[in-house]
Amino acid sequence: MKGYVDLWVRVSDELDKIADIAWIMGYKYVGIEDHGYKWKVKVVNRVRFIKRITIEARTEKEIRERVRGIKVEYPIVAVKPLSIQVARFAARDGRIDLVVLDRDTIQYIDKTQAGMMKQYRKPLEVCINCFLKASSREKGMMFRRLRLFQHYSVPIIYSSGASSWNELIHPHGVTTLVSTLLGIPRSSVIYGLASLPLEILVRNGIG
Amino acid sequence: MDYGILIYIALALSIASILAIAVLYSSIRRLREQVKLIVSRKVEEALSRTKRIRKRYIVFTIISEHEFNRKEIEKAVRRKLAVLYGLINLAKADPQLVFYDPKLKRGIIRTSHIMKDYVIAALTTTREINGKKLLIIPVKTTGTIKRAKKIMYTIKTKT
Repeated sequence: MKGYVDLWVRVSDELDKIADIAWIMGYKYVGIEDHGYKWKVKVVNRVRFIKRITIEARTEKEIRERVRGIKVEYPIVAVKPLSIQVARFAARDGRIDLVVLDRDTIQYIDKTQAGMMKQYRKPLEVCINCFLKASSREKGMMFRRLRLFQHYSVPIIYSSGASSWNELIHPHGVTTLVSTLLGIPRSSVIYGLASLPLEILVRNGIG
Repeated sequence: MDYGILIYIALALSIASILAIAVLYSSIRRLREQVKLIVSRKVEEALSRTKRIRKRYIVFTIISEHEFNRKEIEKAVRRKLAVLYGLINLAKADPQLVFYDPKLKRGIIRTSHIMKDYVIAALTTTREINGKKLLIIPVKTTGTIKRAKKIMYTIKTKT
């Protein structure tokens, strides 16, 4: 195994600290939200930081415009769909790597979406911190979605979505948390933490 | 020769054999029921017999600029466990901070073998104590405190 991958960290500064902690935890690749960086990939203290963008869109026209030529600058492109049309577009478009499941997008991620994402082998990204911060009702909705996607054998990626250094989660912690709270098998959680995100990176010329 | 006697004897023998078969059948049925009862009792006993709960020691390390004491850490982990899994699971897990070295910022938490995953999840999601930021990293889980202490003092964090 080449190490774990955290595809979504939202921290803007303290890259050195994040790199140190990520290395201690066993992460070798960290996808970092763009804060005006001029690099695509940067190695800090043996950890590779990969620039990523998360697009929030409401209409299909908006997402089409924003996605045009995006792969030149960003190796990882994720979409937070704020409407059903955007969710369906994200599921079938080849330039989009991930569809994010969080508090804002729960209602647009449904059974049909699961079917489409299965058909196009599009991974669903679950932000662990978003799940922990959500209300009990939202947690329940996310739980049901995750079970549905697991049933449909849609690939699921687990990322921290950390907005500060103390929000990073140890891979062992993610595995135990997801398997005990959501009842998802350990092996598939590990797959979503290591092999699957690495596949995306390799597909995009990194890794 | 009088065949009448022979017929009577044959009749008597057949009736006796029918009776014998009936008795045998009922006794076999009774035996079968008794065997079933014994087996089911054993199964019930086996089911009711609870497995011995073994202890597990989780070695962890803290990343923070601040200092924390034993009570604060144990309280924070317990609170997080209760939030995530509820009071029943907290009672089942009963995590106890048995050892903490403030200089190394490493410690040992004792729990049961069935609840160790729950405690690890609670450890990794504990983010702050009294408003001070921290990160807890589970290093290793062992079955004895002796080995846990050995790991605590010998293991090197990746630098």
